[in-house]
Parts: sequence; C-alpha cells; structure tokens
Amino acid sequence: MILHTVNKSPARSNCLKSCLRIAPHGGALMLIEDGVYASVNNTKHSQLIVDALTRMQVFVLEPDIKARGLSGLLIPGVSLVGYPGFVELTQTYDTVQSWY
Amino acid sequence: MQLGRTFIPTDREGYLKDLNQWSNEAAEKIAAREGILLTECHWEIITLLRSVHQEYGHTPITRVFIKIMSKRLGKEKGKSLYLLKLFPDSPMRKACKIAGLPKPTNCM
Amino acid sequence: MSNTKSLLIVNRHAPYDGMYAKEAMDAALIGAAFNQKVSVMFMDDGVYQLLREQAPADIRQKNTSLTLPMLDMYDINNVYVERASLQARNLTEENLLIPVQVIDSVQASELLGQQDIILNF
Repeated sequence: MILHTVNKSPARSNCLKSCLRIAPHGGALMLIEDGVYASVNNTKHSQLIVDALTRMQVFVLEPDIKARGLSGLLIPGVSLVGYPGFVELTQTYDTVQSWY
Repeated sequence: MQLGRTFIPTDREGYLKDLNQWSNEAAEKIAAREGILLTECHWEIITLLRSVHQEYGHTPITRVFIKIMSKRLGKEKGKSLYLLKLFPDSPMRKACKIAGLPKPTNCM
Repeated sequence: MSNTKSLLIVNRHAPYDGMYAKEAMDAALIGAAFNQKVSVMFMDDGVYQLLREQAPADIRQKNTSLTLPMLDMYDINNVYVERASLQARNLTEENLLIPVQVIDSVQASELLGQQDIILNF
C-alpha cells in the first residue's frame, strides 16, 4: 500500500487530479501544505475529495489546516492527523509517493 | 594550454573549458601531455566518443561505451582491454580529455 | 550482490521546465550504472519529454530528448507512459521518440507499489 502525499492547492496545480487517477487503486491520500485546500467543503474542487472518500482514506495534516484557518470548513470524512500521526502513517505504508 | 598563437583555457586537470575550441591539433597536444601518441586506432575512438556525445548529449559509462564500440567498430574492438591499451590507466577519462569532452562524472 | 533495489523514476514535468528532465535522466542512468533495477514512468506534462523532433537550440537549452535512446543502451527496458496523460494531450505512441509501454491507472498504481525506491521529477 502506498501513501500518496499532495502539497499543492487543487486550484493551482493538477497534482491532486493526477494522484487521484492512481491512488485509489491501493493507497491512501495525505494532504499537506497547500494541498489541504482540497479538503475544504463546497468549493469548486471539493467533489474530488468527496469522490475519493468513497474509495480510500483521506488524511489531512492538522497543523496545515490550523495555520490556514480551515478547521471549521472541512469535508466530512477526512481524517485529521498531527505530525506524529503523519510519521506513523509513513511507517505503516510500504512507500510514500509525493505529488508536487 | 598554448597552441601555436592561440591560448586554450583548460581546467586544472587539463580538460578543455570550452568544447568548441577543440581541434585535431588540440587533441594531439593534450594526448602528448598524457604521454600518448595518437594513431589511427586512437582517432577512431576519439571520433566515436565525440559523435556519441553529440548524438546523445551524454558521455556514457565505460561499459556502455564499449557496447557502442562493439556495435559501430566491430566486435573485436568492443573490448575494455582494447580501450585500456590505447588509453592506459583510466581510459574514459583520458579519451574524454583528448576528445575535448567534459570529465566523465559517472566514470566506472 | 543482494543490494539490488528496484528504482522507479517518475517524470511529471515538461522538458524545458527547469532541470527536471535532465536530472531524471541522470538518476536513471546512474541507477542502471550501479546495477539497480530501473524503471521510468512518464505522466502528465512529463509525456512531452518523449516528443520527437525537439529542437531547443533557439531557446538556449540542451535537447534532453537526445539522451532518451541511452536508456536502452543502459539496459533500461521498462519505460512506461500513462495512457490518460497521452490521451489528454491528443498524443499516441506514434508521436514518441522511443518505444514505451502504455499503461492504465491501475497498472501505474501496481508499478508504484512494486518499487523499493521512487524518485519524483
């Protein structure tokens, strides 16, 4: 199993879309840095994560959510993890694939 | 390096700084500094090395260059021993230096 | 030697977007020079690296596509291109400089899953 990390906002880059073509076939998604904007509900790009959630787990890095004031705006079903949780995830999965 | 009236800049190890300043005379002079008198066999390798570099934008590792030698110069010449005889000690480095190409970074 | 690892080079950038293409190629060839099991995958704008007849002299860039045929010389036979990336750019294998294996997203996912090391460019 692969942990896919995305660190770019979906409004600026195709990283998330590309990742989501591949990731659901045996992997989980971890949104970090500006990648966390994809987890905001009711935006032009929310559907990507809403659909992804039906097929895989989606984690978001809590410090990045807090830093950007997004705490109350998230799509239900995404899992918040802190730095220790992120480290743990990288150990749980076989490989980490970063999309940047 | 002084060549007739022209001065050709090289680095400390003697590799040409500007590959465009290479000429047959420059090659002979660099070779002489390495203690090599260029024969037809040497020129064959130098010409091949330059055309491979031109064609692929890359100087291959020894093993791969020998494969190319074998394909283009014939099997009897596609041997590391053959290359080593012509350019003793570190063949790819010496051949590149004489051919006016950058020092191979991935030399093995 | 048992320290042979599988190494996948992932190319997602267009050829003259910074140094990605050249560095990816260097990494692939060096990996092969050290007898690692190297595969290369192109997706997104990375597929543009494979186009025939690139001539970047006038933009003062080195033609990175020249080095592509070296993959074969280094015995790197596993060169993959993601189908959706080709289709999204109206490209087919005909447009590409070297022979490749076109794979779908499930196969791409499997490919990623099989690697010891993945390097992204």
